[in-house]
Amino acid sequence: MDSTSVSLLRRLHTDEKEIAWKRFVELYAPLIYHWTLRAGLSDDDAADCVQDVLTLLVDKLPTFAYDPKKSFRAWLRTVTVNKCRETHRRNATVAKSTDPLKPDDAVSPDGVEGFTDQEYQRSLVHRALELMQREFEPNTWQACWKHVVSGDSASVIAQQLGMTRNAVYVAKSRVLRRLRDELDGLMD
Amino acid sequence: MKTDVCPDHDLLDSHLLGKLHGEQADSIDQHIEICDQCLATAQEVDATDELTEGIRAGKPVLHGSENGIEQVIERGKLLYPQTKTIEADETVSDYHLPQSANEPKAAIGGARKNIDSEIDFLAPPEQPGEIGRLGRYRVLEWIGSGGMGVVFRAEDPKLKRQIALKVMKPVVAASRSNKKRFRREAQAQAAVRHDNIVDIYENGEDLGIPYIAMPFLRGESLQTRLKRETKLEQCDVLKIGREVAAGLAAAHQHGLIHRDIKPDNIWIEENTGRTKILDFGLVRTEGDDAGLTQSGMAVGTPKYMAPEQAQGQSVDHRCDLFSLGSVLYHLVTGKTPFSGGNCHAILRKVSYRSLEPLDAVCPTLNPDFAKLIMRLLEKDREQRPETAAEVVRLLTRIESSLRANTVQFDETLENSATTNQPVTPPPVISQTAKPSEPPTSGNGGHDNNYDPQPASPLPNPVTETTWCGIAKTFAVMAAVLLVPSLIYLAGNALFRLATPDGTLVVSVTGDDFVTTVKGKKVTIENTLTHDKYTVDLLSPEQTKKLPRGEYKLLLTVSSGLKTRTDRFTITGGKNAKVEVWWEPKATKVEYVWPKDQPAPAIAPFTAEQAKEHQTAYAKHLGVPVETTNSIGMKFRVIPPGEFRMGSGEGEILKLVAEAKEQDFDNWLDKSIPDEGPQHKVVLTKIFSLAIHEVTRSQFRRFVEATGYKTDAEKDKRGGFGWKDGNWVRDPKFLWNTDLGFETEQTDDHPVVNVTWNDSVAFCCWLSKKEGVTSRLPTEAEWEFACRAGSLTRFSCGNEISLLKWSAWYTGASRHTTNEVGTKAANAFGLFDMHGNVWEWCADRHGPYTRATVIDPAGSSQGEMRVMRGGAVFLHPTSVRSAVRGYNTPNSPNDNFGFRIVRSFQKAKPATIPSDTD
Repeated sequence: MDSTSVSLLRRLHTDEKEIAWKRFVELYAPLIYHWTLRAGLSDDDAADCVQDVLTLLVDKLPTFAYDPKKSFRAWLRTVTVNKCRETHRRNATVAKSTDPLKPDDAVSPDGVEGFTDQEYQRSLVHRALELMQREFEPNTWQACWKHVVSGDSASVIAQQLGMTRNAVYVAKSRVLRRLRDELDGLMD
Repeated sequence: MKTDVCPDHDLLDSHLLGKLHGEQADSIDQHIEICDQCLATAQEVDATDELTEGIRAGKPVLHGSENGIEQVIERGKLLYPQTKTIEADETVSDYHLPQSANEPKAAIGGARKNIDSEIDFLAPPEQPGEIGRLGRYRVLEWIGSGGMGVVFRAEDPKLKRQIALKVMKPVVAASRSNKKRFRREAQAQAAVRHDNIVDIYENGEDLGIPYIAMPFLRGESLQTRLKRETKLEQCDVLKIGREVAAGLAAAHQHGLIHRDIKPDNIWIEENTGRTKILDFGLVRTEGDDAGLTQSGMAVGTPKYMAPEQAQGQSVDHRCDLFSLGSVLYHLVTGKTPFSGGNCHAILRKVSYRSLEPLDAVCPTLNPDFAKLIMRLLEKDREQRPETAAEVVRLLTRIESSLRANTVQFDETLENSATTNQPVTPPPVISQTAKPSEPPTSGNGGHDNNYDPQPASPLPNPVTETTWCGIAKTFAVMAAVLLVPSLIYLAGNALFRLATPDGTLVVSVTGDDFVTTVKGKKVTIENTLTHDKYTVDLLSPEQTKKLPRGEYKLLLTVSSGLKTRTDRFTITGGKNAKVEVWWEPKATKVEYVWPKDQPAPAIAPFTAEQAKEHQTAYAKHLGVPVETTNSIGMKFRVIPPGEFRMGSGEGEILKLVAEAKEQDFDNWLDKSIPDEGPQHKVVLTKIFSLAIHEVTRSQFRRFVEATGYKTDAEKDKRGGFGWKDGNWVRDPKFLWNTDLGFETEQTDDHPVVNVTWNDSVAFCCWLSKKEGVTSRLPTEAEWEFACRAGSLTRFSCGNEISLLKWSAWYTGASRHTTNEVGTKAANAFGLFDMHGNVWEWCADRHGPYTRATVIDPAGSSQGEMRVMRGGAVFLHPTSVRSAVRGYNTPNSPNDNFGFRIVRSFQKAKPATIPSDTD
C-alpha cells in the first residue's frame, strides 16, 4: 500500500488535478449545498450558489494551498456566506421591485454561521470516508470502522474478520492515516 | 525498513490514530504486525481523538435532497478544466489557437503595435493609400481583429470595388487543420446565396494565408446600434428577426449551422436597411461532429448560446434558433435573456435557469411575438419551433396582423370621412392657453408613453351584470386614433370595435369626445385646467364637451378596459394616438349540475366511461341508448357534460407550422387559428345524435314526401363532381346523381351536394313528420360528441396510424365518399365523425371566446355556417375533432353532408345560472 499519500489540496496542483477536483467537489458540494440551503435559499438558488462558490474555488484553490496560515474552513465559510448574501440581496431587490410589501426578511446567513466547526469536521470526515472506502481492502476498512465506531475490542474484530489482532491495529492506523493525509489542510 | 524497537506508549497512540507518516509509519506497521509486546501496548492505549470521536459520533444530517446533491456535484465537476477567462459576449471558438492568438482584442491605446504585427504578413504596398497587398487585392485599412482572423478594407483593382477581406492570422494558419477548416467553411458559406447572408466573392489563399473576400458593407452591426439605442421598436425587431431567420433557413437548408448568432454578427445595411448574417467563423456542417471540435467544449458566445452549446453537447440547427431568440429578447427588452455575472454564471443560467416571461418584462410586446421568442428560448430544443423557415412564417404572420390592424383603423377613418360627413373646415376654438401651438414635446398626445399610469380608482363600480357581457370578450388590442384634423367629422365614429359581446366606439363630435362602452367609465382630465370629464358609460351613449388641450385618459382598471397611452392632445395639425384594449376579466362561470340526474360527462373520460354515461342517462330517461326514428335512422344518447372546445395555443402553433410544412390546403391552413382560444363548454342538455351521416336513401324519403328541390337543383350551376378527370361544378351533379367518383354512389353513401339550407329543410320535414324535434347539431354538441371524452387530435388519440381504422381520409386530390359506418365508431358509438364528408352544423361561424360558455349556439352574426369533421379528400390534420370548416348556407359540394340531432321529449329544462358571477 502506498503510504506516502498526497493530500487532496496538493493533488489539485499535480497532473491529477482534474481527478482531484472531482474528488474535491464530491467531498464539498454536499456540505456547501447544506449551508446554502440553511441560509434560507431556495433549492435553485442554493444550487447556483454552490456553483458560484465552486467556481471561485476552482480559481483560488491553487493559491490557497500554499498558505498554511489560513484556515480553510473559515475561508470557505466566508466565501459561502458572502455568496449567500449576494443571492439574498439580488432576490430582495427583485422582490422589492415587484412587491413593495414583501418584507426583506429572507436573509438569514446565520444558518451558515451557526454551523459549528465540529459539524464541519464531522461532515467532512464522514463524507471522505464514504468516498475513500473503496480504496481499501474491505477487511482493512471494516476493522478500522468497527474499532472506531462500535468500539469492539481487537480480539472480537479479529475473530469476526478472520485476521490477527495485530492486523486490526494496523488496519485502523492505515485508514486513519490515509484519511488524515487526504484531508490535510482542510480540517482547520 | 522494519524496526525492531517497540514504539513507546505515546508514539503508538499517535501511530494508531494515523498521525505518523511516511517511512516511520510504514516501519511501525510492519513491526506491530508481528510484535506481541506492541499488541499488548496497543490494547492499553486509548487511541482516540477528535477525529475518531467525529467518526464515532456519526454523520451529521445535511440538508438537500439526494437528487439536489447529485446535481450540485455533477455541475461542480463540470467546472474543470477551467474555461478560459473570457467575456460573456465574446465568441468561444473551437479553433486550435496558440496562446498568443487568443489574447483579447487590442485596446484602443495599444492598438498600433498589435496592428503592425497583424499586417506584417501582407505583401508590401505598391501604391499610395495601401497598407499592403494580399492576393490581387489592395489592402487599404485595418478594420478589426478577433481570435483567429483580421478583417481589412481592401480594393479589388480589377473591378474597382471595395471589399472586406477576412484573413486568417498566420499563427492560426500555421495549423493545417485550421486552414483546412477555414477553407471548408468559406466554401460552405459561398454555396449559400441569400439576401440575408453576406456574400462571398472569393475564397483564396496567398502567401500561405487563407482569406475570404466579401462585400464591404456600409451600415452598422446590430451591436453598434444596440449600444446606441439600448432597445429597438417592435416593428424593427420583427423585421430583423424575420430576415435573420430567413438567412438561417437558407443556411440550414444547406446543412450549415452558424453557431454564433449574436448582435455582433448581424449587420444592418445602410441604405436598404437589410439584415445580413456575418461571420460564419464557427459554422458547422450538420452531422459533422467528428474531428474538428474538442468534444465537450462550449463553442459560441455565452450570452446568446443555446443550453446544448453551453453544455458542450452536439448541436443541430436549432441552436441557431435559440440564439436568434436570445437576440430578439435582447432587442425588445434591452438586455440579454441570461445576463449578470461572469461567463460561468451565464453558461449556467443558460443551462439551468428558467427565463423571466417576456410579457412580464416587456408588457407592450405583441403577445404572439412574446410567445414566439419564449419558444425560441426553450431549453429543450424539441420545444422550439422546428425550423427557421417556420420562424419566418410566424414572424411574417405577426407582422401582417399588426399591419392589418393599422389598415383596418385607417379604413374606418376613411369611411367616416367619406360616407357620413359634410366636409367643413376644422373649427378653431381657443379654449386653452396656447391652442395654436403644437403640443409640447414629450407629453404630447402622440407621445406613446409606455409607463402605465396607475389609473385612478373610480368610485362607481360597474355592476357585474352589465359588465359581464364585455368580460367575455377575448382580449382585443386596438389602436384608437384621435385625429384632430378629422375633428369636424361631427357625430361620426372615429373608431368602432365590434366584438360578440359589445362595441367600443370612440368618436369625435366637433370638440366632443364620445365614448360608448356599456358598463364602462372613462375619465378624461385636462392637464392644464385639471378639469375632469367623466364619460359615464352606464347609459348607452354619453357625450362630453372636450375643449382642445392636453388630456389624461383614465380608465377603470378593474373592469378590464385599459390604455397605456394615458395622455393625448386635442389640437390641430398633429395626430394623437390612444391605445385602448380590453382584458378579459377572469370570469367564473360555474354551472351547477342538477342533483337529480346522473353525473355529467366531464372530459376527459375513457371510452368505457363514455358508455357508462350514455347508459346512465338512457336509464334516467327510460329509453335505450340507441334508438331508431321513423325512417330508420339510428341515434345514440349523448350525455350532458363539459369539455375543452377547440385547440390550445401551443397546438395551434404546431398545427400551423405542420400545415405549412406539408403544404396543405390553403383554406384550411387559414382556419386553424379559429380553433382557439380553447375554452370550457358546458352542455347542459341531453340529446341523441345520429350515428351516421344522413344517407342518400334517407334524403330520398324527404324529397319523395315533399318534392323538395335542393339549392343545387334550383341553382342552374348544380353541384360538384368529377367530369373528365376534373373536379367541376355542373348541373348534372346533384344529391341523387352519379358524381363521377371512383365508386358508384349507393343508397348508403352519405348524401352530398346538399347545402346548409337543404339540411335544415330536411330537419324541418322530419320534425313535423314525427312530432319530435330533429335539428342540426350545434358546433359544440358536434365536437363534444366527436371527442367522446378525448383531449387528443382525434377521438382515437393523436396517432394517425390509429385514425385509419376509424376515418375515411386520404390526402389525395381525387376523392370518393364511402358508405356510412364502414369504419370503427368512436366511444359514443358514432361513425365517420372524422372524415368522409363535412357535416353541416347549426351555428354561424364566429370567433371563440376565452370564457366558459354554456350551451353555445354560435355567433349571432355572419353568413357562414360551420361544417365539421373534414372530408375524405383531406389530410389527417384536417379531419381532427377541433377542425372548423365553414361555408355559405347555399353552397353545395360533393363532400358536404350532414348528420342530425333528435331531441328527447322528456328532456328536462336545465337550470342555467343567472348571468352574474
